[in-house]
Amino acid sequence: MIETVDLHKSFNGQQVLRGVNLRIREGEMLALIGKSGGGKSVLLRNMMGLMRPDKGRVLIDGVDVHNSSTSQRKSLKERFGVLFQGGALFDSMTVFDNVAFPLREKWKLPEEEIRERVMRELSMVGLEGSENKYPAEISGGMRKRVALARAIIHNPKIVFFDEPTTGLDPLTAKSIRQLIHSTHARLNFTGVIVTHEAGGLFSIVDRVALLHDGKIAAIGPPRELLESSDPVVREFLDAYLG
Amino acid sequence: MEERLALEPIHIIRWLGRSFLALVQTAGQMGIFLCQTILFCFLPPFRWRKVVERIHFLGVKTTFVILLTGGFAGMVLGLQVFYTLRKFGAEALLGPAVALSLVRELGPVFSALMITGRAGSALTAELGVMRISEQIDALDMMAINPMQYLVVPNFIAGLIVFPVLSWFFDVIGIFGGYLVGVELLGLAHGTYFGEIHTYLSTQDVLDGFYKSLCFGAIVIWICSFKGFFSGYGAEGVSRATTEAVVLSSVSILLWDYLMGSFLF
Repeated sequence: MIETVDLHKSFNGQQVLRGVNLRIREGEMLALIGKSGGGKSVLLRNMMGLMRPDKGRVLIDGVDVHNSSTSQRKSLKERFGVLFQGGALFDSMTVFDNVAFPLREKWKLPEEEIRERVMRELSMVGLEGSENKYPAEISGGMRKRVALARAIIHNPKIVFFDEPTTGLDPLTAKSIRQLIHSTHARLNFTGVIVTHEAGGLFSIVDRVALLHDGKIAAIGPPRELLESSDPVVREFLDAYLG
Repeated sequence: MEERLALEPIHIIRWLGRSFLALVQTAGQMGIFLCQTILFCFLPPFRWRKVVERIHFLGVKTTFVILLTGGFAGMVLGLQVFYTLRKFGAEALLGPAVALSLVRELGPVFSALMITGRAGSALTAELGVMRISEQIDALDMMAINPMQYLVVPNFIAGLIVFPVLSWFFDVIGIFGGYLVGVELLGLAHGTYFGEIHTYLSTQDVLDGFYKSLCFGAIVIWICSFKGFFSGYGAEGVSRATTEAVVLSSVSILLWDYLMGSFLF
């Protein structure tokens, strides 16, 4: 379970998070929505331990992400998978080497097993035949697929998705959403999806949390939010759903 | 107007204070970065293959530039020193003059400056791009220490590459001096090399080695730090690269003077 307790974060005097309290259940897929520049990615980076909050705590299975020992943090990160907004693929490596990277560097698996797992995962994300290409030689949608394959290659317990469909055309975005959905069903990880493109993701998440003015303004199943009469929720959703 | 003028000293003091604090903070961060790098050199996992890759990146790709500049530096040195020595009737000492200048001073300094320009800047830009494209964050999230993976192999490679390329510079420079002194200006072949053998000691070679070892540590430290913590966007990477080259070059010359004055 992921829990944020009274999380505050500011940059140069500008308060971005003003006491975020959030609980994400094990195995749940939660979408964190809100305006662009509203602090969603900051909240995600705080959860992942890449950014330190000014005040408050992030607990993952009871372990304080920012105030734990190095070995505890390391063991937490070994259970993480992250799909970064731009993919964060290593541009000097091929698609195959990118996906194989955690298995080689972290898990030190035999090369035969690595090949088998990487090829299986690439096939799952529909990228058979692209294993020898470099990130610069493939499209944005393909890069996201490679990044997804790399994020889940070690069967993580928690996967963070930072704007997984931003910048993609509607069809590619839909295929990435379906891919995330099928991967979640297959691996049953706890997932946190940060996005400002709310609509399409409602069909694949268990709950949606709306970050507004540095706080969680609303949280609940997608249907509940869609039917909400809260003016903040309505303003945001109406803008997307027309 | 009067009020604005009255506030000016305060603004200047505030700006000075802020700049000083920023300087102290950066110096502290750089100090911690260096300590961590040295510490991680001795902690597993040891990525020797990565070290070999970085030797290729820092050293092999810079060899041609080093040979070229070393050759010309030796030729210019041979020419200038020959004319100076001739005034004293001491042309026979051209060999040791060129060799000592190169081995103790010019070899380590010039080669370090050349490596900074060719490979140090590339290292900063590479790390900067990795920072802004979240590749460094990706490593961190895979529970792989980015400093151990990215900085330590470069640091170890730097400690190997800088002395080796400095020796290349020395050797080619001495042959450059030979070309001018012996082949063009008519000095005897035996005199040139014989006097080098007489005057150049092992200690001179070691002094040059210690210098280039220090330069290797300094350049890789500064270039890695600037790249690792570069600002965002293309402008951030470009600024980090410029700062890395300028700071490395100044540090090389400063450290060279300090070592020359106090140690040798």
